[in-house]
Amino acid sequence: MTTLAPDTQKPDPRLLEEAYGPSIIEERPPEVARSVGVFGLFLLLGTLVMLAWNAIRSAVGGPDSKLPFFSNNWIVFCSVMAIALLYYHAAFDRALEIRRGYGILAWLVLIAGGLGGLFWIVYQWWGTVAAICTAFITGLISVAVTVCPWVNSGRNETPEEGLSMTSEASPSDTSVGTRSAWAAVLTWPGALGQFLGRWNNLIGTDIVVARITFGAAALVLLTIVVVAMLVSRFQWQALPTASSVALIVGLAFLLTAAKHETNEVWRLAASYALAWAGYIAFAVLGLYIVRDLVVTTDGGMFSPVGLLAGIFSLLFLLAHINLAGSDADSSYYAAMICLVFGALILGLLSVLRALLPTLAFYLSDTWRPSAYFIPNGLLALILVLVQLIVGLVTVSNNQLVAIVRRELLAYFYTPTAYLVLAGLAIIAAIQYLTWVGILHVANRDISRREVIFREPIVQYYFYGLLPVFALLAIPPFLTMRLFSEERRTGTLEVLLVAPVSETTVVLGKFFGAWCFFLVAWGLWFIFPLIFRFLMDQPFDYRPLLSFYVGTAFLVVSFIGLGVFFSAITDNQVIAAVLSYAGVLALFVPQLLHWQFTWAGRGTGEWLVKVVQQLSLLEQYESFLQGQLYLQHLLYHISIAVLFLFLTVRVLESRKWK
Amino acid sequence: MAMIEVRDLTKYFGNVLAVDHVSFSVDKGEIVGFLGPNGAGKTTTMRILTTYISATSGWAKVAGYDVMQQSREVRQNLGYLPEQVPLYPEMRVEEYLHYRARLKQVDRRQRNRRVEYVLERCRIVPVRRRLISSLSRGYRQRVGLADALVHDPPILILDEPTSGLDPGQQQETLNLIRELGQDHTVLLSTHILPEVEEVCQRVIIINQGRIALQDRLSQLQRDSHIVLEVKAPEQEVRRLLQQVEGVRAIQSVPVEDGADGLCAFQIETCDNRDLRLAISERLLRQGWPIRRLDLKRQSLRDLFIQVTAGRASAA
Ligand SMILES: Nc1ncnc2c1ncn2[C@@H]1O[C@H](COP(=O)(O)OP(=O)(O)OP(=O)(O)O)[C@@H](O)[C@H]1O
Ligand SMILES: [Mg+2]
Repeated sequence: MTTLAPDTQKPDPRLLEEAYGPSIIEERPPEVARSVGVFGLFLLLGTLVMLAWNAIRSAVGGPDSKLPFFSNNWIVFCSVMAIALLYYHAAFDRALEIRRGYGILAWLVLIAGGLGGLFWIVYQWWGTVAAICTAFITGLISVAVTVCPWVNSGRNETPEEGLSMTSEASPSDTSVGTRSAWAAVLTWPGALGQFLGRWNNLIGTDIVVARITFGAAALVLLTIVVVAMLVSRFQWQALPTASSVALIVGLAFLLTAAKHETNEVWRLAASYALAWAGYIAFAVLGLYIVRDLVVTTDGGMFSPVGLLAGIFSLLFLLAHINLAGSDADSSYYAAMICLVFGALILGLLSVLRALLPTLAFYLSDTWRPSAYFIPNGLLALILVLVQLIVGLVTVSNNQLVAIVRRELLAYFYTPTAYLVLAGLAIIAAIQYLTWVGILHVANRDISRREVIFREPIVQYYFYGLLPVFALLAIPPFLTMRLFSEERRTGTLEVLLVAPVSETTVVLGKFFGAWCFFLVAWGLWFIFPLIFRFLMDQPFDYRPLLSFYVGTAFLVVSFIGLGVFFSAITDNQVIAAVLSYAGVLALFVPQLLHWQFTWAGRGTGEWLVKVVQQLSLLEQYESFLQGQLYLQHLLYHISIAVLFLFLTVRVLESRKWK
Repeated sequence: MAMIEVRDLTKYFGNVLAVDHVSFSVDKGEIVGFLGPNGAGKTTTMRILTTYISATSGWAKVAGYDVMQQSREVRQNLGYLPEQVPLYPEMRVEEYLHYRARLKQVDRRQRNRRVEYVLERCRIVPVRRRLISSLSRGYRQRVGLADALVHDPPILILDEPTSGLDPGQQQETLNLIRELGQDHTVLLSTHILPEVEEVCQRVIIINQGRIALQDRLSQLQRDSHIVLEVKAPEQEVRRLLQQVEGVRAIQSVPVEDGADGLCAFQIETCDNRDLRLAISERLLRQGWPIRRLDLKRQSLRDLFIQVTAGRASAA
């Protein structure tokens, strides 16, 4: 076959670079990212100086040296800012080498965090010697997994090229890299064996492998020493926190670096390493579940460390799926493991919940497990549910799931998601501060205590203009784009010519918007968690659950409305305006209700009763009181169903124009 | 076996008659060119075949399924490249194709293989990780084609697949279409007629919603005539030519850059016989210098203009 185009021959490396590189980077001048990065670096140095100053002062020690000179708040603030700035630089610097450098650093931080966490866990259980041994073995495996793709990708290349790490990805070394990384993921002993076996004869010939290996090994040793010092001398309680922070920061940086990486071997290495970390975290989670079930007798279920491990396993596996693409085999297996494991835990939980109290009663006189697993059990349940959803969404062949997934991701492709999330975070923070303020005042003022400290105190968190405003304002903002954008650009034709029914498309868009809303709305609950766990203030949190469920169903009608209005016009602004009008229309019963209350109409009249049931704020309040009425939920669901049905009709009507 | 079958298809947009009793069929393994001037109704017909819109009357079957009653099966068996190639600008090429494969229910185990295959086939491997918004028009076209192919449909409907491509890419796409034609049924519309002559086995020309012509390309190109330019008195040449056996009609045509004493003819022969040798022999015997003696097959372009212009004036 004759070919004319140049790109069917071996691709020119410059073109490849351009093709794989992130397109956003091309548009920004490099100076901006660089200066932001330098600023971040200075901030980080400043933080370190502050820490050192505090340490020196307490070491040299005057009588007043117990109090740190720089407050912890400042240090935390500065370091968070510094990391955010550095992150910006890592994501947007144009030079590949710099992004790669960040990636390597991130991987090292990740290993350090993982080692720290594992060290601490094993130390808690079996003491120092076992901990050091575990850390050493894990460290060795990390090194093996890091080097493995390169060791193997070098194997098939010509001797001159050797293991050149900068060689551009060609199909052959991609597949070799895949295979070896596979070996690394599936059989860690296999990876170790491969590594040791090859390392022996490669180390003499290739300087790069030698350097990586020794560098990583030195790092592992250093980490172990530092960790051991920390545990023996310093505040070893800080280790889990420090490790968690290291893991999160490392994950974030590594993910950006890998996303923008041009060399396939580097990408694969990062992606499989993340999967590997996810599996380890999974193993830890399993360990803790077993421990909590079998070993402990204090009745607690699902200790925080196990939960943390669960969260990390989910994050790592998600990152892997994100990097490898959800159609990759490894993603499939990761998702399957999530699914199976999640289902197992869910089943286990329900069985235990049913059996354990009874069993305990018969078997022992002293052992009384808490029957409700709350709150850790509840968090575990949420974790398991998220795990199940992630697994299902990745594995499923269902068209509806495919559309929901795309719609959800589409929010993150555009600024919409970030605007909504940032806006909600700010609103929640303001409400939280107000709330804590109210509680403080009540604490001081005896006369108010009676009123405000009556449970549920969380209602004061949500009483206010801002939360209601957010609840009404966000759904149309999320839905305005759904169909109007597709109509404007013509992608609707492509979408509907795929073998998919109109109903599936409409439901997919609806659930996509709804899922995003659920995630965003979850931001409200971070602050109460802080209040509960970091400030150690117990309160009745159950109304939060009914509030979440209630509001989740309340917006169903708004979203249904919005989907409909976005389907009848190809202009986003018009769609948004119409949807807001619709939301206002749904608010009318509330206005009537106020009217009736002011006018003092008899409460016995049926109209007054109906209006009261339909008014949104009345429903909102009852959710906050912990009351979920079926009629409220059904009201919103039926509105949504009606509008979704109309949307399907609107889509079908194109045929008859 | 007819993979696409259309009978009396009619479509009104309000009062505008876009497609008017169109009937044709496309057999398995055929590549058919669907031609017509702007606004002739090509896109409308194709949209009806893809079930995106419905016909006002008449029926159409694709892969044996009715486009009205069994639209899902039709879409499952059909790859469509729309005229404007609308794509999601915010997605990456690879990501988009994976999404489309999933939407078109390609099985998980097949999906990676299919996506790799179409990336390779449409030559977009180098841009696989680019944002679609950053692609040039030609590359978007190829991504659209990859999308049409990703679920391995037996029937392809391509609306102007080569518009906006550079000459090299046009040739590439044509080669691809010709290759695909070996095991796919292809209906393609285009305004570039040499393309049709190159890849299609059959053409359907549609004008103002009605079919103006449909035939095999080899059949259409059989008509030929001889062009002659000679320096001699016109009447005598004409007389001479009439004596040649097999000449059916002789027509004088104006001479290009009319040199002195030159006259030009267009000669039609019975059964499209090639009489050039016989003619030149006679003319040379007279000693008349010949500037041009040529056998001209009728080009698709002439035919197209003839057919569509005739219709337009008739309407
Ligand atoms: N959605 C529509 N509403 C109203 N009229 C339409 C619509 N779509 C097409 N038409 C009309 O139908 C006729 C056929 O249009 P069509 O797009 O099928 O032409 P075409 O052959 O594809 O032309 P081109 O070569 O320019 O692509 C035109 O007169 C056009 O104005
Ligand atoms: Mg057209």
